[in-house]
Amino acid sequence: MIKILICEDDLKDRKILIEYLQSYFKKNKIDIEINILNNYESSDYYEEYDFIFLDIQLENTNGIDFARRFREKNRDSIIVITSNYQKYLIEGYTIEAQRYFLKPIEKEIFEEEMDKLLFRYKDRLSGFYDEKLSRKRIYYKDILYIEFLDRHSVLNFTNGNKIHTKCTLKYWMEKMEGYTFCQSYKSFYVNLDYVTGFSKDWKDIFISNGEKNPLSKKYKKEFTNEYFIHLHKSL
Amino acid sequence: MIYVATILNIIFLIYFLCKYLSLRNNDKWFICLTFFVSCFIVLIFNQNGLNPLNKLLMFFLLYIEVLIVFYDDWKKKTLFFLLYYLIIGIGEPLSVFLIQNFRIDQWIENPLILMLMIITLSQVIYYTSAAVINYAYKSIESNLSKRFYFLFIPLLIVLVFLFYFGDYNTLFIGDHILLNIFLFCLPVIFLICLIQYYVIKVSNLKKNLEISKLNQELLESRYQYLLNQYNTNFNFLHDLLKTCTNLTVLINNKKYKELEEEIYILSDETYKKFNTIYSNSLSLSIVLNEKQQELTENDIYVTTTLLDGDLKCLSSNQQVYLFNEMISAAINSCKNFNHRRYIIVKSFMKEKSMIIQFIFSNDSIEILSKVKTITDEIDKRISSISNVKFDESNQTIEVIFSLNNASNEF
Repeated sequence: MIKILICEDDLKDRKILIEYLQSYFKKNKIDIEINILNNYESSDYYEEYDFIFLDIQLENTNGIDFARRFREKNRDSIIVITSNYQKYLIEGYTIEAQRYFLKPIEKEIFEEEMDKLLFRYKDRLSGFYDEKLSRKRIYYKDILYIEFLDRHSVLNFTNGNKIHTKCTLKYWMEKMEGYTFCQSYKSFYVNLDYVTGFSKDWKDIFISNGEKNPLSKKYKKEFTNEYFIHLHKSL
Repeated sequence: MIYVATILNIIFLIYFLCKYLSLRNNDKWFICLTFFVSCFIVLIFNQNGLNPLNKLLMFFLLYIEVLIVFYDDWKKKTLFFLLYYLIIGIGEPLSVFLIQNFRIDQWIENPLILMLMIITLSQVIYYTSAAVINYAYKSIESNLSKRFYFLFIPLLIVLVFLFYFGDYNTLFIGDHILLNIFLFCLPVIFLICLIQYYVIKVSNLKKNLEISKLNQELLESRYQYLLNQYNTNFNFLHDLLKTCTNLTVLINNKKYKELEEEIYILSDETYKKFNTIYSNSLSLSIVLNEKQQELTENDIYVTTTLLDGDLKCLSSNQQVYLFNEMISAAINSCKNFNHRRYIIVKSFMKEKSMIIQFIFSNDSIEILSKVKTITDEIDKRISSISNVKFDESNQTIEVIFSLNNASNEF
């Protein structure tokens, strides 16, 4: 069940959005629960929502301010900005919005973009539980890359933490097959979500935490191919 | 007399080079210093007569001085320095030949006056050649092609010839074979230069003609653009007036439900039109405005979300080129699509790269190769890396361009 919060005070736009959401998720055979936010000062919205559709120009409050307050309590929800004007959409960047819809929203464009959002959503939930490594579930989205070093594989996380395991890189590759990871070097298995670019000589890849990982000739073609496939799926 | 000739030659050197090159310092003292250093170099080597080795050393020392004293590109400095050497190299033997040929040396017995006459005649030849070169250079300067530099090949051959055989003893004493070769070469070289000069002039004329044609095309496209703008604005205002009349009628008849519907339709249409022509990128807005009529005629909806409208990794020209090519490709793709037609343009910033994405309607994979050809050409022009994909479920073509943010990374 996917929980969706709609922050939209224009009745017509709200109606259209609900209609599109119901139609889209029905087509994809996914159950949803849609809630409408009426009181922007209430703390009900701190509850875990998977998707938030937010109009920036709300009548009584600024959508961006509301989203900032929301983000402080809830880091994981996917925020989708809706607005009549392009210039407001860009403000969504500051609250890590995942998508921007210009109103009036076209159904075809909505479905095209929702496919990508759904991919991201599923990707975010993917992970595994291994009590030897952590008491909590480990999400793939939290792993930057895995490095094989001195017969140990090291899981490097987005928050800077590292977990050392005795598993081989092959073990992780088999475990994470089909997710957003790809081998860049014989001892590096990188999360494509965090690749920010390549060096000009194509010998390194840049990771979002500022690190530089090697890219070997052997894996270059497959890695760049996978990188673009990932971009197509997620952008 | 050798000092007089040297001083005059150095004055000519500075005069000639200053016509085409700019001095690093325009101060009088700097020019004087340049003059004295040049004189010193020439006199040191000229004191005991010149052999090929001395000539070569003197040539390189003067060349180094020119490289230091003048500001311009080294190729230009080399070119004009070689030209100066050629003028000097050809002028001196030519003046001796003329004096001898007209038997002036037989009338004047005083060798000092004879030398003075040779020097004067040489200077006349130098300055006349400089004037001719200046005239030719100015008339072809605006569009110098690579062919211009071929002009110097025969001249360089003469320069090498003069380096080895250019002294008085070799040319004028003995059987005069070398002098005859030299004199034979001069008209041939002159003819070659003349032909080259006219070839370049003709090619420049052709270029100018092409530029005028392009200007004409530009003017026509501007006119077309303004006409499109006028037609679009006219149609929009016409529709707006019609809707206003309808709204007034609905108000007068108190049909508020229909009035509400009409206002919704009007506001949706206005937002759509506004968002089609406006984007965060000026370049994209220009392209969309230009293609507005085509987009309206083909009922193509455009939506853009460019998080970084500046696209600093591309120049304005490159931006317009990229958007123009891609929006044209997207329009052509949409034209063949029978359902809802739309174009989405998005840009994303990554720390080391910038991603620009185009999504447009199409239900056939066949167009993929055509789009790929276009994106390959764009990649060459803007140094990007692109990837094209056909999304069967959404019936769209997706194109991603990845560009470097920093200068040495992408």
